[in-house]
Amino acid sequence: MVARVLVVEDEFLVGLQLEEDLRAHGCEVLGPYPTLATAIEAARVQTFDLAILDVNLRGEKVYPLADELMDRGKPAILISGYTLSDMPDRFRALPHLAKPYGPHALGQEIRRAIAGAKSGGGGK
Amino acid sequence: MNSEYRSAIAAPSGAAALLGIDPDVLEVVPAGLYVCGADGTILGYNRRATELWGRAPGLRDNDERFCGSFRLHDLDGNPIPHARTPMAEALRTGTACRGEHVVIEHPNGTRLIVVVHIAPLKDRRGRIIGAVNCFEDATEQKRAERELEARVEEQGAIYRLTDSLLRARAEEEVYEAALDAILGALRCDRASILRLDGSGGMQFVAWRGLSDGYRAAAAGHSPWIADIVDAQPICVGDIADADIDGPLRDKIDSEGIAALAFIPLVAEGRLIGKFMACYDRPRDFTEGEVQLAVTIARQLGFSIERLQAEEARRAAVRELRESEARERAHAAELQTIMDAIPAVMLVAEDPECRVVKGNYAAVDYLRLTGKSNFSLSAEGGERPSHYRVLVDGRVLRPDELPVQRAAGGEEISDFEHEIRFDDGTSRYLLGNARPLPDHDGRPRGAVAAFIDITERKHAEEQRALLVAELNHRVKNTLATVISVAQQSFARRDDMEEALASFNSRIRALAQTHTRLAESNWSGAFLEDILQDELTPYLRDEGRNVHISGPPLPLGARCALTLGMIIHELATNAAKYGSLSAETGMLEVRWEADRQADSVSIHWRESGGPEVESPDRSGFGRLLLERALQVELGGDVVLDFAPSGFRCDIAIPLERSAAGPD
Repeated sequence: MVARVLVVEDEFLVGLQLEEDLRAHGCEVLGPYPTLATAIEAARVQTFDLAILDVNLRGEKVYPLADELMDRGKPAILISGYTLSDMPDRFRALPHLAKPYGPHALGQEIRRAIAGAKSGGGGK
Repeated sequence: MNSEYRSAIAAPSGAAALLGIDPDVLEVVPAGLYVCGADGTILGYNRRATELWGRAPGLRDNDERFCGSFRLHDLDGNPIPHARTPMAEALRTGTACRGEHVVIEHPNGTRLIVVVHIAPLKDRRGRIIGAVNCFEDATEQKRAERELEARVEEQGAIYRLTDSLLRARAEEEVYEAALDAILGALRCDRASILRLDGSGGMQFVAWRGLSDGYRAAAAGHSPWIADIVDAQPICVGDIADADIDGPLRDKIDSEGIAALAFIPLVAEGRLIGKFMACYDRPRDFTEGEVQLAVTIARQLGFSIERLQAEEARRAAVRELRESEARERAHAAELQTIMDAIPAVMLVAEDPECRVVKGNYAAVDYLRLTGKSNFSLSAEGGERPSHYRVLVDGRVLRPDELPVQRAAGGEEISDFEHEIRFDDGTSRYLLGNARPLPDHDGRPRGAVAAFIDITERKHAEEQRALLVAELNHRVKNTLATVISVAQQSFARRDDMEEALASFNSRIRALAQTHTRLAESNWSGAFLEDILQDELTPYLRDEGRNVHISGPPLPLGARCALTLGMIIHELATNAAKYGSLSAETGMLEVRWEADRQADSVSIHWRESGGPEVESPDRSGFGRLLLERALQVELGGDVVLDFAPSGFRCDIAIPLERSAAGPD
């Protein structure tokens, strides 16, 4: 599995961990982008297969970027300390990783998201 | 008598001569006829005169002057002496008499009323020489006249009774009018009216000419049983023959009552009393009198019935007014109570909730007036339009509202809803609604009471938000801990050393958390964080460490990041730098430059061992060079001078004080 993954995470240490985990899964990491503005800009100009989005970016929600990616049919995984019920209904279909997650769960979600995107079911 | 008459008629040839009439002619006249001379002596008469007198008087008899009757009376029964008869008057004054009535009494007591015509006789010089009297029985005629008068009087009495009864407004007036009629039409001497009391006896309610003693004795008696259907009049023509004994008999006797009639009074088919006509003399009650009495009784009964109906109607009207007044008072009382209740109260006054009223709290809460119709089911113009009612974010239809549902018979409990006003503000209500049943138990409206739970609702929302935030923070912290562990263990081959540095890093993180928790996560002071990290390395009562700078509050995120960085700097200094030597010194200064919008922190080590080449891959370097940039937008300058390690950190002022996330 070689994939380019856009990482959006404002916590340095969490992002650091995610970065290392992704590399361990053979992924190439773009980011981590710590703010919504930098993340949206990067998402528009960079080429990537998958985005991993932390929901809360310094009090700002990542939802606008998630909406944009869903519109583009880009696979995305949400990561947060929140439960799904705390999030708007339209994101419930997206894969979700609850913090703290293990490397195994991360790998599973990445494979599932990419496979879904390739079969055409990962976006709209 | 016949022979006597004949002799009498035969004898007065002189009289006939005087009259110039053939004596036989006297007999032809179909009336009593007699002639008196100037001295009043009777000169002659015919047979009819003897029949009317009941006797044949002597002719030219000085003891039988002016009239041949045994006795004479006027119509009132007063005796008239013969010398004062109309004949005597005619002879004395020469005046004629036409149609006067007198009463003739026969020797056997029989009385006749006769009508008398007298013509004086005069000679050529005008001297009175006698008079002729023509008289005839008028008893029947007079009786008929009297009967007629009586009927007229009765009719008048009945008429006056009817008239008075129609005008009467109280039972007393009815009784007085009835007594007038009884006395006038029945020609009795005394009368009374009695009414049936609750126990079947009769009590006097009106009377004329009856003594207290008699009334006391007669009260309570009734000639009929109380529930009699067809009570008939009872007439006692002569009380002496009646079957009455004891004290009542004595009272009747001493009262001087000789005859009595009891006439039943009936209203709505039931016996309600009687009237009593009392006579001082025994008498025969005629069918006509009884009929008349019954007519009066019927009139009286109708009047009492009418008055009772009117009284009942007035009582009903009075009762209605009183009940309306009570209702109004009750409504006012209820309104007062409702207005005093500090909860929103709504009252629907009809099952369709076309009109809903509210108390003061409702007026205030829903921003209406006391006269407003609170019903969202009301007609367009009356319906409040400046707010909507929602449950779970959905606008309710009028028929889904608690008052409307209760008016339909439901009992609504703990109904929680949002009132969303047009200005965007919302209030929350919690309460109950109940149907208001009518007499038959069907809902005629509803009442509802609600308390304001807006504060509670906000507190709940706040709590939900806090829980979510706490969740987020705890999960982030755990992710951070995992990352710290990864960094601690991945970079060291020596497990024990790795464990030691992991433990100390987590302790440092926990220490900053504690500082933040003390301030409710609003932040921590840089000085406190420095002291927490450096206290373990103080020597000579702290003379080896100098920290100085203005009070500098840090936001939670900044405090956590700086806390970890300071921990790495401190452990590094303790292991390799100035804090590892007895002569070593550490100085930390900081200042906030508001114009440059930055916070600067200066880390100066001196007097320690000679500084060696730095470990580029260390966790501390990673934090200083990357985390500072990523997390806080800060910059760092590191100087590994041989005399001592120096580090200058610059953070935008705004980022240093930013909130928790």
